[in-house]
Amino acid sequence: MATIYIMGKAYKVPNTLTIMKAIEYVGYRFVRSCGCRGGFCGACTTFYRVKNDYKLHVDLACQKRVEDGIYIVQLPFMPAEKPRWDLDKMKPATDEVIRVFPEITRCLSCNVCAQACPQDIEVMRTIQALRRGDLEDAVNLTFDCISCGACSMRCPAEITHYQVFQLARRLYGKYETIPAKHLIERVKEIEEGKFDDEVSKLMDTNVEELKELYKKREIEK
Amino acid sequence: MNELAKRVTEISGQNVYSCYQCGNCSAGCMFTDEMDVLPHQAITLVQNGDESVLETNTPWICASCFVCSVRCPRGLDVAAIMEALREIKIRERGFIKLDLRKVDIEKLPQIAITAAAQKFTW
Amino acid sequence: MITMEVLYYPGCSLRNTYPEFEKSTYEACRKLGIELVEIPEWSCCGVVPSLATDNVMRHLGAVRSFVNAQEKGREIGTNVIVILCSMCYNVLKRVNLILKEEPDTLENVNNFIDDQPNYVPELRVMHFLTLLKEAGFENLREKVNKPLRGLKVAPYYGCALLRPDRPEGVPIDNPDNPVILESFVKSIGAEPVHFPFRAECCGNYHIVFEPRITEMRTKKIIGSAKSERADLILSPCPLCTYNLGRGNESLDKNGQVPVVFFTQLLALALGAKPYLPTEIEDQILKKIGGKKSD
Repeated sequence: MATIYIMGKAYKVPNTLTIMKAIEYVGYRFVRSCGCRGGFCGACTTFYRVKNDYKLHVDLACQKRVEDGIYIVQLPFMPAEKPRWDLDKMKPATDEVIRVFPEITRCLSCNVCAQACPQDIEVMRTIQALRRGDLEDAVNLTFDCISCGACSMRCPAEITHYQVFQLARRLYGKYETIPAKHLIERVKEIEEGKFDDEVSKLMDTNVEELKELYKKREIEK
Repeated sequence: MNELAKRVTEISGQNVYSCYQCGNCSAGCMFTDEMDVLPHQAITLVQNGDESVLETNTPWICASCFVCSVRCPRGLDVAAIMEALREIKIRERGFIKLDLRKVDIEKLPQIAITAAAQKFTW
Repeated sequence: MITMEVLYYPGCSLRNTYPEFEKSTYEACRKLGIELVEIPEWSCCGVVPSLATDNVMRHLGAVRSFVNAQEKGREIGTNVIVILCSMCYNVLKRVNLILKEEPDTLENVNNFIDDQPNYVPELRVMHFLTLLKEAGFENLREKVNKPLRGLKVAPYYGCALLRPDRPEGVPIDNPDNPVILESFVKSIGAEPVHFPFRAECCGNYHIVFEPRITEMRTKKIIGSAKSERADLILSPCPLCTYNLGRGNESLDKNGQVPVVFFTQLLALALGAKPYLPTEIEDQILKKIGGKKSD
C-alpha cells in the first residue's frame, strides 16, 4: 500500500495503481481531468511532489503509478488565449510564428518546459529552433505533443507552447509536406457525388439492419 | 542608507553614494532631450530616497548604450543604476510597461523584439 | 586550404532577417581559409545583458550555448567562438567574463542546468573583426584582389562593440577613439570617412515602442555621414542596420546613405560573392571601376 495525498488529504491505496485509478479507488468520480485514459488526450495533467523532495514533477494521471508519499494536484484546464491567424496569408517561415506569438522572444532557455513535458518532448529546443529559423526541426520535434499545457503553466516567459507548435505544424503541413494524392482524389470523388447513393441508402436503413450489416462487414486481414 | 538607495544598490551592485554629481554621464547621454530628469539628477533623487524618480520616464528612455558608464570618473555603472530603477517597477506585481501583443511587429527583426522584451518586461 | 577552424555563433537576426551578413561572411572566410563551425543547438543570447546582479536567469541562453560550444570545441580542438553580430558579441562576452570572475554565479548556473554538462569558463569569445586584426590587416590587404579604391566608407561602430569598458575585455578597441574599423576599411582599399556620430547609439530597442527616438538618432547619424560625403555606411550590427534603414526611409533620396555590413565589402574586395542588393553593388562598382562579382 502507498499513502497518497489528494489536495492535501491522505489516503491509503494499492501501490500498483495509476494516479487516476487511485483517485477513483478512494471514491472520487471524475467530471474533469479525465479523458482517453490512454496517455493521448492531455486531459489528466497532474503536478506532484514526493515526500522529502522539493522537486516539482508533472505527469499524466492515467499513465503514472502512485508513489508512497506523493502529493498531487491536477490541471484540468490551461488558460490560453489563442490569437487568430490566416494560413492562406502566411508563408512557411518561423518569422510568421514569431509574428503571431511575439512572446517567444522572451524565452530564457531555462528548460523548465522540457522538464515538465509528460511526452518527453524537447520543448525548449523546439522554441529555440524556431528562433534559429528551423521550421522543419521544430515540427518534427513536436509530433507527440498532446497539448496538456504543463509546459505553459511552468514557463516564466508566459509562452503557450502547444499553440505555437500547432501553428508551426499547420504552416509546415500546408506548404511544405507533399500532399496525399489519394486523399485529394477521394475528396474529389465525394464532391462529384460518387458515394451519394450508398450514403442515402444507409441513412434510410433502420438500426437493427445496420447492426446486421456491421456484423457482416468485410474485415481486412 | 534610505530604503530606495539600498534597493538600487542591491540590484545594480553599484554604490549610489559614490556619485558626486559631476554631470559627465548626462553630458554624454544622447537621449536627454526626451528625459524628465537627467541621469545624474536621477541618482541624486535616489541618494535622497525620493521615490518620485520611479515615476519619471528617465529609466525608460535610457537605451543602455553605456556612454554614461564609460564616462563616469568614479567608475559607476550608471546604466546598471538605470536598470535597477526599471527593475524595481517591473518586479511590482501587475506592472505592465510593454504589451508584446499590441506592438506592430510586421517587419521588426527578432533582435529588436527580444531586446524590448528583456528591458520592458520582467 | 583551411588554416583555421573556429566555433561560430550566428544569432537569430543574422540568420533570419539579414542572411546576407552571414552568407557574405562564409564566402569571405572561404577565401581567407577560415572554417566557421556552427555551435550545435545554440540558444538566443538575450540581446541585452542583464545588469541586475540578482538575475541569473537571463544568462542561461548564453550559458547553454557555451556548454554546447565547449563540447563541440573539444571535438575539433578549439576554444574560440567567433561572432558577427555586435549585440550577440556584447552579451556573450560579458556573460563569459561574469562567469570567470564570479565563481558563485558560475556554480549557481551550473547547478541549475543539471541536464547539461557543467560549463568551465575557458572559452574565448571573439568578434570577427578581432580575428581579422589578430591575423593582421596587412595580411588581409595582400589577399584583396579587388581593392575598393575611390569608395568612401563611413565606419559606424554603434554601442555594443565599444561599451561598457568594465569589466575589461568587452571593447574591441579603445572606446574613446577606436580605429579598428578604419584600419579594416583601409586594408580593403577603401577610404574611411571620419564622422563625429560614428559611435553614437542608434536608439537600440526603442524602435519597437518609441520609434520617434530611433528616427531622431538615426537621422543625425546618417546626416553626419552624408555631410562627410560618405558613399556608404558600414554597420556591424543587424539592429543598427534595421534602425538606420528606417532612418533612411524617413529622409528624402538625396539625404540617404546606403548601409552595408562590413563582411559584404570584405567579400567584394576578396573577389567573393557579397550578396549586396544590385543597385548598391552597381553603385560601388561604378565608383571603383570594376566588373560584377562571380
